[in-house]
Amino acid sequence: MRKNSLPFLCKAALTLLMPVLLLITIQSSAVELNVARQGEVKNVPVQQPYNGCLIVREGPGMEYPVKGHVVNGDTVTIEGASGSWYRISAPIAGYIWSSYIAVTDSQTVDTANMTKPLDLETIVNNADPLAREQNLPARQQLLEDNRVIEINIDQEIQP
Amino acid sequence: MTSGHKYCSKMARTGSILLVTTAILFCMFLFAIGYSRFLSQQANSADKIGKKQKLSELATALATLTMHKLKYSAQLMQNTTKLRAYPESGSALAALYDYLSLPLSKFDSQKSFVMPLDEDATGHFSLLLEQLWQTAGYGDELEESITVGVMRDDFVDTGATSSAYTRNKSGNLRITVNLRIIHSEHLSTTLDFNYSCPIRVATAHVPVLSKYNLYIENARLNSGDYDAGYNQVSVDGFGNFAETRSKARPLVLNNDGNQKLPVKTDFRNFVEDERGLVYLGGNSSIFLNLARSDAVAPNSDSGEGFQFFRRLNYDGTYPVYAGNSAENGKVLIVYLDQGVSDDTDQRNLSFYSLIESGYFGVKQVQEGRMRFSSIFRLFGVQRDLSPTLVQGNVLSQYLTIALTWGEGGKKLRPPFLTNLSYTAPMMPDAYYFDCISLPEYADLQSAFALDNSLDSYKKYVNHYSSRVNHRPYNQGLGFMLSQTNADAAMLFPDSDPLSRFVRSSAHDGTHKIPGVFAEIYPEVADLKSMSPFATGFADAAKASYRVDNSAEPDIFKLLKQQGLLSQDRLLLDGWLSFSSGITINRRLEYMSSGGIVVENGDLIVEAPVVPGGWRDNCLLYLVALNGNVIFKTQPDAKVQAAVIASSNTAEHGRVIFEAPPAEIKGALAMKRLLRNSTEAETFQGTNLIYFPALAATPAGSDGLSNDDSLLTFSFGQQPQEIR
Repeated sequence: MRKNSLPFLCKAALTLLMPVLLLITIQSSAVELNVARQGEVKNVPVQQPYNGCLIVREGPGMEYPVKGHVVNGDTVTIEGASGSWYRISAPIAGYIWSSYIAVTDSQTVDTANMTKPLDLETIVNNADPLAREQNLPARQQLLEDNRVIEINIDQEIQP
Repeated sequence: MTSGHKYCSKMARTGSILLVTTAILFCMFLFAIGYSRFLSQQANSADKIGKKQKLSELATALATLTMHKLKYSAQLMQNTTKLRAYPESGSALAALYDYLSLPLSKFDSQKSFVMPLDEDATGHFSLLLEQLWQTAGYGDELEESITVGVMRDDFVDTGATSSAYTRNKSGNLRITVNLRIIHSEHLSTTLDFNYSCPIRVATAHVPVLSKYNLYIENARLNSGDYDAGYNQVSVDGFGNFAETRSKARPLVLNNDGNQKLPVKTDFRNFVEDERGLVYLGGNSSIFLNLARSDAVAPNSDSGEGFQFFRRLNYDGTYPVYAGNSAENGKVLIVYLDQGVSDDTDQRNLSFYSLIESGYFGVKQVQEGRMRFSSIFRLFGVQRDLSPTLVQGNVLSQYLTIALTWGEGGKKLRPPFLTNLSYTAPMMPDAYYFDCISLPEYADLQSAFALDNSLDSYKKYVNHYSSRVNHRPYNQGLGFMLSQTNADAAMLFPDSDPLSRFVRSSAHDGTHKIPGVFAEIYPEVADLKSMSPFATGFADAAKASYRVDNSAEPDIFKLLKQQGLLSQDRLLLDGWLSFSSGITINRRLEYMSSGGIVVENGDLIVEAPVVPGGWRDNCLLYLVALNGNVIFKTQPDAKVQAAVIASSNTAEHGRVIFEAPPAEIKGALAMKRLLRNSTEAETFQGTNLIYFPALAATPAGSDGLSNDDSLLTFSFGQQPQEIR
């Protein structure tokens, strides 16, 4: 009886303490994040509409004017990220679509000293979703169960 | 006649006169003695009557003192153990209070309590007694003893739900003043004088409603399916309140009185511990946007990032769909959930740009008011988490960023999944019409069998793209239980009712009275209407005092006239009702628990309402039966009160925060908070801290309800002599 109850007590204590410990850990520690600083242009399709060129724009979006382009193999200096776009300072200052940039150098940032919130790119650069690959059917089911309002696309696209 | 004869005859006559005179004198003597005895008896009788009258007056004075002791001593003394108006443990008065706290079913048929007047807190009565003795002309030859008798048959159960909350009762105490006149060492006379004293024992507690930190009968702002009007509060990217940008301020809940109760996985414990629940009623869903709280600001004052999955390194990505790309092998679609912020810098916009890249995304963001968080922080804020059970069709709403991820961290195309617009194929000016066909979507096409069809597009937008998402509000409890477990929502066992609340906000149980509270009102099944619970706060029999204030606006003056206010401190220890609306425009300190009910009109709070010193465990109910409760206080004011705003009309029954205090410790229950989303734009919230004693559970098999710490003891003003 005593042998069985001890692990149970330990589990119960751990269950109770876990959230507390987690919070203490979160509040007391800051982590180091890797922020991209340099990259190489890679895998830009040679067919249309790319023709092997990655367009550099004035802002982080397709609506911004074109400033120039880089090609596979070019090295770009990354200053920051905005959504799916990198802000680069060389060889041309502007924004490029990040999908075709392989990060070759990154800087470690201590979040304790950060004065601005993290952006999406920074969070994703630190991500490791593969460690959580299990339970996909259950997650999908949960998402389906959660959905109360569905986008009625048929109705929305009616001319 | 001879001279000898004459002489003899004269002698005989003299003797007769003497005899008669002697007889007369003797008679007079006898009469004098009798009269003297009569006078003496008369004097004795008068003396006896005077003495008894004097003793009776003395006894009445002692009975009055006893009632004052009963009525005021607990309120005036400082009980540093219980922190409420309760006699010090071990005292004679405490024994009486303990007994009166019991349910009537636990009463003996008769029980007596000796009540020394000069005990502890009422020690100053000694001097008063001494003066009384001197006035009465008695010294050591008179002794008093006072007994308070409690007879079960003198009491009746009261309260709306006497079988559930068993301690409410009203009746009469019997006060016996025993006077002993000591004639000599061995001879004394004893006289008993009997009085009755009305008493009402009522809790500052309203069955069922008290269990809710926030209860809103109808929390819907509009009649449409999609009610997102509560989303009005600006926060910055760190999750701090953006004061300069926001007209609305949030109502931040602390649901356990700062006890830091953990999330539990079983419904029963969750409901039965000292935690205030939340009910946002209404006939359809309410969408509450969760506020951003950034990883680098874990103590933000308004953020709700704790409701999302996050690893300790702030990685919040989790895979949802898996497929196989012809070119790059395994492809995962990964989600990252994030709260909302209206910051305009690129860091914040980076979350929105992926969603707003398409028509439906823009629409979702606009209609859901996704730049703004809701006016509610139902689980507290990042720096002060406070889990509870949220009932009603309440959904949390947030941003979901979707990414593709390759095996071994291989970069796939595209890394971020935007919310594509749809335009009929082959339209010349359409950029997005065949996006799924673009080379950058090659991995997605082959892994998830997407083509350029409308069906593929629907599948993409609804399942794979970055978009606005919603889920049952209670699902956030999972990540409060274990933020580092991506599947924390599944930690609640299917067999436990709590899992239904975590997985859905539209099940029958979400409007039902939960657990042990469900049987309190046998005829009431759900929380949808406040009216059935009104018996708990609108019962006229609950009030010990009723004041007609229709002609006098100054309630402090009226309270003083009733003997309920001393040095601006409220000595209520019970419930009081006012006939018309009132304004509390001066600081009101109360010395005991109780309730103030306004029968018709508004109850306006313009000043702090707090317990007096050392009475932190006291609570005052503020109830508007047919009106609103309106807060117009200084911003640093504190209010410790449970508030109920009820009404039979749609126009009233609201709690209105015109100028809210810094903190309300108690609970809020109302018919409505806001009438429409326009009112929500300027809503001024505050910190709502639950008063844990309100979570009192009803009586179990032992017949003892858990509301004893909120009991009030309202004694009458004057003793009534029983002859």
